[in-house]
Amino acid sequence: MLGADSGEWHVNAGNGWVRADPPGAATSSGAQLTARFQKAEDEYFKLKGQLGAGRITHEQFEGALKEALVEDDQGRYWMLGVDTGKWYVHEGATWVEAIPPGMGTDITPPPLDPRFQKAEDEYFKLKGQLGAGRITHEQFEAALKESLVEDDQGRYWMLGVDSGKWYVHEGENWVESNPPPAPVRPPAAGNLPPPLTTPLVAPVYVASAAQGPPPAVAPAKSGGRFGCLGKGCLALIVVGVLAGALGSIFYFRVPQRIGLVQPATDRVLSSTPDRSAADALKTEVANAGIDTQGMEFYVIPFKDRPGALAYVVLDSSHGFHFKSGSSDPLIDFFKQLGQGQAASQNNLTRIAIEYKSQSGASLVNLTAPTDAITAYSNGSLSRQEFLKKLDGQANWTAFFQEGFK
Amino acid sequence: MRITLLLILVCAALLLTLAACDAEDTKFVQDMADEWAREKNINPQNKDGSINIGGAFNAGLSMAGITSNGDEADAAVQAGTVLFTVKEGDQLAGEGLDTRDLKKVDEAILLRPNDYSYHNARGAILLASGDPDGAKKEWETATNLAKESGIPYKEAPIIRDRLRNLELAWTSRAKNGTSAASADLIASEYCSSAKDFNLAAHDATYLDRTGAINLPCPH
Repeated sequence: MLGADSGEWHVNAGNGWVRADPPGAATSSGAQLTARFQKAEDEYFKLKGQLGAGRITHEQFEGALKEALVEDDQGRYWMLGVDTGKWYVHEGATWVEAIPPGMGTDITPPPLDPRFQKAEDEYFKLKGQLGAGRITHEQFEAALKESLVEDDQGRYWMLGVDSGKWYVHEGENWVESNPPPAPVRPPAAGNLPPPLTTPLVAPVYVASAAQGPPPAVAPAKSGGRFGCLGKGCLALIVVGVLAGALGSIFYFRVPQRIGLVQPATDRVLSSTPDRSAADALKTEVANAGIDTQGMEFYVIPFKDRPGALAYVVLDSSHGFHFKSGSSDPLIDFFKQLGQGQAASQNNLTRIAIEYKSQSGASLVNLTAPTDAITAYSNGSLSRQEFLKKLDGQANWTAFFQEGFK
Repeated sequence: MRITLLLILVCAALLLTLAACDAEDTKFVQDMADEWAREKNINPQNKDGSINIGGAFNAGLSMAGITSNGDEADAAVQAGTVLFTVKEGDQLAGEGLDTRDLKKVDEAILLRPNDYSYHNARGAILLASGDPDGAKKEWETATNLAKESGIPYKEAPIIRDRLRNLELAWTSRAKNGTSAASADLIASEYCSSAKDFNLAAHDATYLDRTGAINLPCPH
């Protein structure tokens, strides 16, 4: 008979139940016997599945197992261990673990890694539910996909939908393989012969006779079809998308556009530029021998503080060219604008220079306070220190495009 | 024929030289921008050409007009977005002053309704057209705009702007159409404003210019 707990075959040899292999099925009469063993195994797993699904109680399970005892040609009784699923034959007064005749070699493997064990338990539970018609085949497959196991090497494993065998995802294919064993532990005392009705618990390992194809649905695997979406990459992508959205919000000045934030230009700059100061600045630059063609001059007083911003556009699309002979013409412009008489007379406290390419694209826009310009001019600031004092924008895309021209 | 060919060659050489100058200017500006951006760590590219992630992030902030030095620097960086309306408005107002066409100035006012300078321009055109009352009204509007703008009101800038507009209206192409009475009105107003400016800013520049622009102050 099958042990109520172990599900293993046991044989009663008159002086008690022992685990034993059912008799061979290789003989002509044994073919039927093998079929009975197979049927008992199938029944066992079906019941096991129902038990796992809560469809039957443990008592009902044990009761049903007792009904599934198999008697071999020598009159010995066989049963499957209630929890182990191993076959036991009843030899003398005890149940002895054995391989039923015609059921192949004893392939009981070493205990599985707990992750695989859990997946197997789940598989058989589902299998039981499937067999009991509690779930459909699609639901079974879908649930199987959820029970993927990743080993320590990052490989994914799953149980074959029909075969119940383990497959590992190697490259692009699923390859049948044995999962890694659990770390070696000393055997628990008494973990050997099962008692008559309640064989001791041992991991259930099933090498189903059904040689079904590899899993019908290849699950996601790191580096596989879905890349690393199941792992940290998804978080990275989400963070990237959020950062991009945030950047776009700032880049397109959405808070200013929808009125949440007043633009800095509105907060700081007066609504009326000082045209006379701009004229004075332009005249001063022209008097210094600089061709002002392609140059625009603006002076805008600050709203809430003394001083004004001088904003000069150097537009090469309107004929501006740097004066030849200067090794540092842009910085020289800062000096020219920030230190002249027009700057002091009109209280210019900040200079901004924008350079436009021949196509009219704004390439760079730099600004510095006039005190920093003065400090750099008189040597109090190094070039590096002065550059750090500069604020602005550079249009790298336009620079790139200009490079191609 | 030879002269034509020579002219074509000279023009081609000139164009090539200008193109070379532009490329040189752009290269210089790019080198300068690279150097600056590296100092500020807002360059998406390292000197060896590799990607600078921190620099790219900072460059994004910089592209959005967010600087590290506060409101004033941010406003200076973003000022370009405002100045195109100033350019367009000034062009319209300049055309209006030049031809004494009020409609052009009105277009400028529509474009920049809080810019008091355009009301000063309107007043200058009205005065040059013999409408001193209309001019006075416009200048009052200009003064009120300056007072309501939230900027501590200072008399000197608004007087100076009025002087500038009067001068532009006076020296315009439409000058020949100015009646003697209107010329007197302009001269009177200009001199009066120049004296006010001198008092407010201790600057006699405009008083000294009356002779140069042929607007002698009436005795």
